[in-house]
Amino acid sequence: MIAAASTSFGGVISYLTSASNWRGSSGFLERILQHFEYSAETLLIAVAIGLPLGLLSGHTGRGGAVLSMLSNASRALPTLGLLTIFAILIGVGLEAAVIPLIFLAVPSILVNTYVGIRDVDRSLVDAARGMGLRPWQVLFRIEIPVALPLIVLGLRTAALQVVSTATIAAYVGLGGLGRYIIDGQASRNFAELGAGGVLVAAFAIATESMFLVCQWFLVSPGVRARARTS
Amino acid sequence: MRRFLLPTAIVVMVAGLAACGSSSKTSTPPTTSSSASTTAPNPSVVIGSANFPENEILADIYADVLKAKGVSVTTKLDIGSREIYYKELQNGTLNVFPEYNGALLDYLVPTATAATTSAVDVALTQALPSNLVALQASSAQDKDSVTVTSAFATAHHLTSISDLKALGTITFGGPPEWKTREEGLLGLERVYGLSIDFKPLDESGPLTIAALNDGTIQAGDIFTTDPSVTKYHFVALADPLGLFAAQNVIPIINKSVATPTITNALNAVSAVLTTADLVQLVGAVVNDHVDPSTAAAQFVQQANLG
Repeated sequence: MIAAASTSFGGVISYLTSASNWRGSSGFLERILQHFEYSAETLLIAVAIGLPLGLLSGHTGRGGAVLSMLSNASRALPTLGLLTIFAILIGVGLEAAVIPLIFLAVPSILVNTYVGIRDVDRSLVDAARGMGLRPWQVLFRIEIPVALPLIVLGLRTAALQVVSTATIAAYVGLGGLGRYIIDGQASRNFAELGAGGVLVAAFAIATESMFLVCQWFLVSPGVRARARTS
Repeated sequence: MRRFLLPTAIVVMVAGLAACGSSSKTSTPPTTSSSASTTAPNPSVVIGSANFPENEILADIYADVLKAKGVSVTTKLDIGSREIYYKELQNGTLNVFPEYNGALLDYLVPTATAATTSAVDVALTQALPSNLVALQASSAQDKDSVTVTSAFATAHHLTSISDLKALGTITFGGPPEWKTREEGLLGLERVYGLSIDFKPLDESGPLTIAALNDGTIQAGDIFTTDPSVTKYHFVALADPLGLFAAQNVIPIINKSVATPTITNALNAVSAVLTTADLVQLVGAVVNDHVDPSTAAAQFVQQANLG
């Protein structure tokens, strides 16, 4: 059994290191780019939906319960089931894959943003108002910078979920790294299947690292220190 | 102590329901009958099926006729592609399987050229390993096909797969494993000289049907007994070069369960099963949402097999 495991492991390694598998329209480079395309498009739309809603409801203090409920419901929806439904309703293609992924990404962004803004020390907000700052200014100059660790965490969580789940695009004839997993499974080619898995994991780790670096640069040092001790 | 009574009761109930639900696919073995008096009692049989309704129905039909003869039966339904379930048939985990003679032959011998039912049966018997035996093939056939919408067929005057060559590159939808199959992309390109832009979808499933209907793909792999063919008026293009070999339903069994009772029961099914039966059975399950085991039981009763 160990011999079998090592030959399949060896098979995965040789599949990954074979130069011809990296080039061409079905090569790793192309599929990584496609995977990035699906993930990026999803996250941009999810941020456009989740961030403003979270900021608005966090700042005004209204609608938090409703948004929280909707987010939990959205999280419970099976992404693969949504994919099949949308593929049948609107046809096989990019939209059918991206819409379910948006359902997956929005909750993290929305809820984390809302909680982050709500958690900003009320005395800071009071002091800002006392200094004469208008609501817009309070939001952008006080609340967002202080809430940034949680907001970026929400983005990071959403990004990680999207990158790992964008493999489902392969079910509807699209590309991406899921192609290797689904094709490898269908034709019992474990080298291909394993290679796909390794690449998705590497992509996810790279995404996580990128967000950690962004967080380090974006979050002000004072807030960073406070977030660590709180 | 009292506080925990209700939550504990709920957890136990849910666990019990989950256990009941998970065992719904396997059937409980009945007591063996006393019909086999001097010969050894029939061995217990494990029937497998692939993960599409027609094959599930066939496995249920086999299960019903064998149970009626007093054989102890368990079913292992919904196994994925042939690459997976054939291994289980070979190593004895499964010992009865409703197969399709042409597809199995092609899987065992990729270079096989037999296309007619009799030629395929002969070649299959030679190709099977020593522990497996092919029983009688039925007249019922369920083939892969190159299917188009009737509008597309009329617009481009298509009657056979060869007619597609004149259209240049066509978008074709099928299961992912077609990319490496001879009775798939490889054969269409090599035997018919087609240029194909392949969209890996599902095996004659809702995605392929939807894609065919809305024009995302120009042609797709739709099974000839699929209810969508009559529902949406699809046209299966003729296969003059015999790329898609005969696909008769045929029981493949392990020699260890090849007792006269079992082989006669399964051959009796092959003798009466027709393609029209398959179309009707699959239509009932897919379009009218009849349970596969119910549809199978009705067929067995109407055909006087049980």
